[in-house]
Amino acid sequence: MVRFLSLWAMVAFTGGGTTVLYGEIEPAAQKIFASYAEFLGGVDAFEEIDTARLKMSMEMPGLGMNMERTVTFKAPDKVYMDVYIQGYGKMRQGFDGENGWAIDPIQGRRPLMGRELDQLKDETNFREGLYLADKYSSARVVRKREDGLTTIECINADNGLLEMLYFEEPIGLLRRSDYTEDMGPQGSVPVSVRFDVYEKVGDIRLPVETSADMMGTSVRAVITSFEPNVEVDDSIFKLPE
Amino acid sequence: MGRCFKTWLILVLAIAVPSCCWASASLVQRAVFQAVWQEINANYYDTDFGGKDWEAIGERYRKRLSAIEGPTAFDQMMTEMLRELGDSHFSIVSPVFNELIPNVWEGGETGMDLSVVGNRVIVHRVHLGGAAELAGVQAGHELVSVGGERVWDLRKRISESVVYNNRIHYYLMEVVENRFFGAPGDKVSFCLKAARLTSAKKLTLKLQTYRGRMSSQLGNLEESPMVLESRSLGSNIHYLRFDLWFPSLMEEMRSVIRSMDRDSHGLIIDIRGNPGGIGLMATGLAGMLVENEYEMGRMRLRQGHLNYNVYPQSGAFLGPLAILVDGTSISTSEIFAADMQETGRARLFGSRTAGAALPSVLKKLPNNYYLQMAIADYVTSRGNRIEKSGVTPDEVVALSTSKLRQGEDSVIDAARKWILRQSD
Repeated sequence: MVRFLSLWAMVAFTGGGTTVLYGEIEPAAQKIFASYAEFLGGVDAFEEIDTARLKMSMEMPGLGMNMERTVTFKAPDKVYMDVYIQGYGKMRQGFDGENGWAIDPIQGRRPLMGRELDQLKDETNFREGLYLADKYSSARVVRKREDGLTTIECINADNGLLEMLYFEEPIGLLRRSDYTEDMGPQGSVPVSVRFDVYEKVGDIRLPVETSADMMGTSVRAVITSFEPNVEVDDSIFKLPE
Repeated sequence: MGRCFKTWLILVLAIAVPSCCWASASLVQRAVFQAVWQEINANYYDTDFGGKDWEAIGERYRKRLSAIEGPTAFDQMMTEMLRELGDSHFSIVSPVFNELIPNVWEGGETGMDLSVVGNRVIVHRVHLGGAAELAGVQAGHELVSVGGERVWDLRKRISESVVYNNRIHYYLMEVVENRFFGAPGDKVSFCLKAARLTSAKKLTLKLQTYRGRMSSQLGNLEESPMVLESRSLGSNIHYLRFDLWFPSLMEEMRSVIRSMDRDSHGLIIDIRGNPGGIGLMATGLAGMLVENEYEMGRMRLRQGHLNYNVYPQSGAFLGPLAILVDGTSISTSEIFAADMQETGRARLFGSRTAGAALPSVLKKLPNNYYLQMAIADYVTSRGNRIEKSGVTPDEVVALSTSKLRQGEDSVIDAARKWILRQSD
């Protein structure tokens, strides 16, 4: 029921594209995407990460809610996530390369099938983040904002929805993203995300402090730790007995 | 990165907070007023505000601010403004409630459950060995007054406020039960009548220490007592009652249903008096009662939507199912009941629900008060709204006081008879 996101997809949220509404990825947009990939550390640095464990704290101050999330990855596509929310319980979700599954206090344990599983598989594609042009069917630079950020208007290749990305040039630093969170069978909701702080972890950079507005509520997310190439027991990716 | 917020998206909308009604005073009234008006202006689920001019409404009440004297008048004014929207789940909740709900729960227990029948408050259940039983309280008796205040007068005061008619039962229960709040050892005096035409008898009970379940804090939802009752009614019929939709109950509900005999004649789920809780739980319980995945309903947000999807779970009970509801079944209870009725999975018994089924959140205001605010409209999978109309049972059955006095519950009895007919 509740879907989570891998580090790889987190880095990827702005994806790139092929061709639909506006035709293609404009060279100017492509250049910014490439700068951003370079800023994050580049393809080679990410390719060297075979496994990773990421911990994140999230809070919704207005609602008094906090969440702790741990995500474990193994290339090319295995992922395991657990989330704990006080008063709600622990939710787990995994994909072992073949089967997706979820366990949570409300829905119990169940396999992830159909579109839900497709989404989970997509989220485990850690390379996606570095190939922004693969995520969007089109992207074009539309204007320079008063705050100095460059706006790129993109069409998501998967769902055809408009996404607005705001980059700080010339380093290609993504500062903000406005898009519709398409959760497949669970619906869709507009979200505005700001990437407040990036930090270098080894050879890569991560947006370690992020804030978002959705449905009139603010959410703040902080990556509290990131361990690349950790030892991972493959059994965690399988649905527990 | 943004997609990591999905968890919150689901959870925020999962919280159909039990409906609250009462506003309260503040020392920083202007700040509170502006925060409330702005929150609603920015986030009300319908950008058209149901055809109402929210700007003009705000202006009208803003002008009244300068003439407001005292917290009570401010409470009243804010309540009036929120009522202009015509929706449930809009209220201001403060640590100090107004005079209709003056007490804070301090861990004392009466050992009895009340229900509203018609316009009367009736003792529905008396717990074995509890304070009420020790004081001589019997099921089926009518509560005439508590703490020197007549129930009739309390109801009148509620009616004179801006509460909608179909929610008066719920608020009457809130107000009356609040008068039994206190610490263990505190004494509460009240008057009961055995029957309509008999004279009232004054009783005093000494509150006992509550030793039941507590929900844990979830965000701005504070801990509160909650009940889960599971028992056999004989004839291979099982009975499950709970009074709050809270995640920590889910595993036990699952166990109860899985432990039922495969040849059980039926299951009765009693959500009378259940004011809601975590909306997503409606889908979780439904998953234990069906064999196919489906969409229960949809929350329409100001922009976008979120679905309530039901995923079948192992060990589901697929036999005859009866659900008991009444005018104090609210929010998630209504969402669940409406779906079970609409899909033909269950037969509903009792009386019409309150019609207060908007998903809402509690947001902190500048002075540490809370604004309860509906953030979405809810429609069933067939596009029906529950808000205002409520859910009307397939069999409207009144809670009979005379049956209660005989130790029977007429609504349970009707459901039980229906289940037995299914197995004939």
